[in-house]
Amino acid sequence: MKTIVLFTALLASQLLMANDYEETMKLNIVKLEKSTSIEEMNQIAALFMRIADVEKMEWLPSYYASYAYARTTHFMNDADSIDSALDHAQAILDDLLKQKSDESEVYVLQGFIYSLRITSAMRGYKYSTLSNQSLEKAEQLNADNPRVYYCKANNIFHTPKMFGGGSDNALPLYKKAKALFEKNKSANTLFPGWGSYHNEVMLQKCLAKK
Amino acid sequence: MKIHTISFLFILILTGQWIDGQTIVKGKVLSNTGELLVGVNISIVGTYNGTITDTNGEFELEVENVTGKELNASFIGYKTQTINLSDNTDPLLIKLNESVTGLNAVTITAGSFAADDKERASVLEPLDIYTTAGSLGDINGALKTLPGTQSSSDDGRLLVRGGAASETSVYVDGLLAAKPYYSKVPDLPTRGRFSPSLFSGTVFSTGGYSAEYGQALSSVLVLESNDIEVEELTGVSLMSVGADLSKTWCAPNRSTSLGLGYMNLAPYYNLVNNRLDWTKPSESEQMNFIHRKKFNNGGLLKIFSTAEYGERAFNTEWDAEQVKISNNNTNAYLNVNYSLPIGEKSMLKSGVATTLNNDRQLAWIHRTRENEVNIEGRLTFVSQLSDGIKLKTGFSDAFTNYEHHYNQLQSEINWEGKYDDHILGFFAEPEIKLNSRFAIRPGLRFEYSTYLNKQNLSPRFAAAYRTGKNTQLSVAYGQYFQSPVADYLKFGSDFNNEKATHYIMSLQTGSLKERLLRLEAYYKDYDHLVTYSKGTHPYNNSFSSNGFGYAKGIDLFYRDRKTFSGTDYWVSYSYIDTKRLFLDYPVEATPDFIANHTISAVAKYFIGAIHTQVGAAWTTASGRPYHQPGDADFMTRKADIYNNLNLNLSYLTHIANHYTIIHFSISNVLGSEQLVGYQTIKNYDGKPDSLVPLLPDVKQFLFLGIFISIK
Repeated sequence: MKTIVLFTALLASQLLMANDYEETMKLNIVKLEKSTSIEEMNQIAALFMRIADVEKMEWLPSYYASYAYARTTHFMNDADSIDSALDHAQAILDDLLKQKSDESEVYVLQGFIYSLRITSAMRGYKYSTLSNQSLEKAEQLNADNPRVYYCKANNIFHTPKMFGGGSDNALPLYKKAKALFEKNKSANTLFPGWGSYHNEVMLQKCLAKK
Repeated sequence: MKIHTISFLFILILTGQWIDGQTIVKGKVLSNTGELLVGVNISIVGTYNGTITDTNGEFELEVENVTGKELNASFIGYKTQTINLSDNTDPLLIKLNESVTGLNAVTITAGSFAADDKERASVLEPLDIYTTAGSLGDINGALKTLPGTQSSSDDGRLLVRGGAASETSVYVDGLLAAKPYYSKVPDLPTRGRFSPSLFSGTVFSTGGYSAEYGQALSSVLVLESNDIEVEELTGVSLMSVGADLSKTWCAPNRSTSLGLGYMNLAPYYNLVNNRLDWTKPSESEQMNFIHRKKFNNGGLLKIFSTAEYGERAFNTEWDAEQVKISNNNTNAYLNVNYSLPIGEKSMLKSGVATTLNNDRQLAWIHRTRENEVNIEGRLTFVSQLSDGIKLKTGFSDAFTNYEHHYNQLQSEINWEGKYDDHILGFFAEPEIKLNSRFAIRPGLRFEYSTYLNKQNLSPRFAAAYRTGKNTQLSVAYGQYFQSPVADYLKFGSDFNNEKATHYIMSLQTGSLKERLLRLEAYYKDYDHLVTYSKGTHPYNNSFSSNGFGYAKGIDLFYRDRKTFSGTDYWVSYSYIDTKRLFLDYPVEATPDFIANHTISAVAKYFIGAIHTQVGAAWTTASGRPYHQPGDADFMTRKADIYNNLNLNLSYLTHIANHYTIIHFSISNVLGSEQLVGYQTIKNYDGKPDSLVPLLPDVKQFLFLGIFISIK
C-alpha cells in the first residue's frame, strides 16, 4: 500500500514537473499568436524567459520572449509604453545576437523591433535605416527567409510614396514572402513561423489599391 | 505497520505538503529604493514554473514540494535575487538591486558629449552631425554648437575651453589622426578632413578625458568608423562646389567601400563677390577606401584610408599691401586596426595609423615646405573583470618625422630644420561601478618623448553619482601633457611638455528623448606653455617653456524634443574667463581667439507634408580681445559682438526610384558684418606689427547639393 501510494505520488509529481520543452513551447507559441491581451503576452514572455533559464542550449525561448514583448506594442498607443516594452525586447535580443549571431531570424527580429520604434515621423529616417540594415543582414544569412521580405515590405508600405514607399513598391515583396511562406512550411514547429497571416492581409490590401 | 502507514499518510494529507504537494508562495517585489516593480519574473529554479508581479508588485505562485526549492526574482536592469524557500507561508518581501550593467546604470559623462546610438550618455544622434545648419557636412561645424567651444569662424578648427586649435587631438577607431583638418592658410578658415558619413559614433570630450588618450591639452574628439555595411549602395552627390561618387560592396561578414571626390570653388566664386582676390580658387581631389572583415574567430579587421591633393592661391591685403598666399597640400591617411575577442570578457585591440602630409605654402615673402610622417601603433587590452569592473590597459608609440624648409623671397634668409620623435605611452584605467548609482574611473598614464627626453606621469580621475532616475552628478580631474607643436619643436628639443590640469563638475538631468539639461563648471591650470621673444626674422626667435595661465568657466546645454511637437532644438551657452602668458605675450592676457560669452541655438523642424526638414543655427559671441600696436597696455581692446544665423533646408524625395536628398543652406542670413576679431601680423623689419581684421571671404555662403543613393 505504502509503496503504491509513494509510487503514484512520485509519478504524478514527475509528470507535473516534467519540463516538456517541446510541448510547453508549442502551446505557448500558439497562445501568443492568438493573444490580444498585453497582460497575457507579458505572462507568456516571462514564461519563455523562464524556459530560457532552464534550457540554456536553446535559443528559441529567448527569441520568443523578445518577440512577445515586441508583439505587445501592437496593442499599445502611447510612445512611452511602446519604448519601454521594446527596451525589454531589445535587452533580450542583445544577448541573443551574441549567442546566435549567424541566425537570420534573430536579425529579422532586430529589424522588426527597430521598425516598431517608429512612433513619430521624426524617428522615421533613423529607425527605418537601422531596420533595413538588420533585414539586409538577415537576407545575407538566409535569402529564403520569408519574414525578411515580409518585414521589408512592411517598411516600404509604411514609407511615404515620395521616398520610394507605398503599396505598389511593397507588393512584389509581399508576393515573394508569400511564395516563401508556402514553400518553407517548416517541419520544426517551434521554428519562427509568424508573419504569413498578416502578409496575406497586406498583400490583399496592396492588390485592392491597384 | 499498517497503522503506521495510515497515520503517516494522514499526517501528510493534513499538512497538505506531499500528496497534494502544493504550497502557495506569496510575496511582493520592490526596488532597493522602495519602488513597486511590476512585471518581475518569479520562477522556481530549474523549472518552468513561475509568474510575474502584478500592478501592486505582488505575486502568488503554487509550488510543489516547496522545501529546499529556490525562487528567483529577475527583472531587466536589476540583479536577479535567489531565495531559499521553506514551508513557512509568510509572504516574502523581495528587494531587488539595480544592475550595474542595466539600462539606467550610472555612466561617467563629465566633460564629454556623445553622438552615438550605442552610448547611453549621448546628447546628440549621429544624424545631428549632418543636419545642423551651417555645419556644411563638417563634423566640427556641428560640434561648435556645443558649449565649451569657440565659434571661431575664422579658424574652423575646434577651440575648446580656452585652448588653442592644436590642443585638441582627433582619434579614429582609437588611433591618432595627426592631420584631421585641411591645411590652414592665413586669412581663411579650414575644415575637417573626414566626412561625417564615414562614422557612426562621435565622442567629443571638452575635458577630463580618460587615460587612454594623451598628447592633448584641452580636448579629444573620438570618431568610431562605420561597422560592416550590409547594403550594396552607390552614392552620387552633385554639389555647387563639386561632386562625390561612392560605392559599397557587401558580402556576408565583410564590406568594402570606395569613394572619389572632386571639389572646385571656381564656378561659385565667379558668381559672388569675394573679399579675397582668387588666382586659384580651392580645388581638390580626394579618395577614400574602407574595408571591414569579420573572421570566424570573432576578430574584426577595419581598414580606413583617405588620400587627397588640394591647391589654392589668392591675394589679400595686409597693411594696405597686396600679399600673395598660396598652398599646395598632399595628404594620405591609413588606419588599420584589428580587434580580437579573447574569451567572453576580454578584447585585444591592435592598430597602426599612418599620416603622410606635405605642404608647400607661400605667404607674402615667406615660402615654406613641410614634410611630416606620423605613425602611431597601439595595443589596448580591455577586460571585464566582473560585472562592475572593466579594466583598460594599453601601450602606444607615436612616431613623428618632421622636416621644414624656409626661404624668404628677395633675401638671403634660408632655414632648414627637422626632427624625429617617439612618444611612448602606457596607461591603465579601471572603470568601477560600485553599484548602479556610483561609478569611479581612476587612471594613470605614463609618457616619454625620445626627442625631448622628458617623461611624465598623468593621474586621472572621474566619478559619477546618479541621484535620481535621470539625474546624475559627475566630477573629473586630470593632468594632461602635450609636446609643443612642430612649429616650435623644429627649432630644438629644449622644451618641456606643456601641461594642463583640469577640474570639472557636472550635472546632467533629463533624457535625450525628451528634455536634457547639462550644466558644467570647470577650472584649468596651465603650465610650461611655450613663450618666445622676437628675433630679427621669424626663424630666429628665442624660446622657452615658461608660460602659464588658467581658464575657468561654465558651460550649459539644453536640448528639448518634447515641448514643441515636431521640433527639436538645443541651446548652448559658454562663459569663459581665461588668461595666458604664452607666445610673445609681454604679460598674462586673454588670447585673441577667446570670446568670453558664446551662445548657440540650433533648431530643426520636419514638415511632413512637404518632406522637408528646416533647420536654423544661430551663434552669437561677445567681442574678442586684440592688441592695437602702439597701445601702452597689452590686449586691452575688444572687437564687436559676432552674430551669425544659418538656415538649411533638406528636401527628401526620389529620383527614378532612388532615395534622394536635396540640401540647400545659406550662411549669415541677416547679412551682418561678420568681423570676428583682429589678427596681429608680425613685422621683423623694425616696423610695428600690423593689425588685420578677420572677415569671411564671402559675406554669405550659399550651398546646393543633391545626394542620390542607388540601391
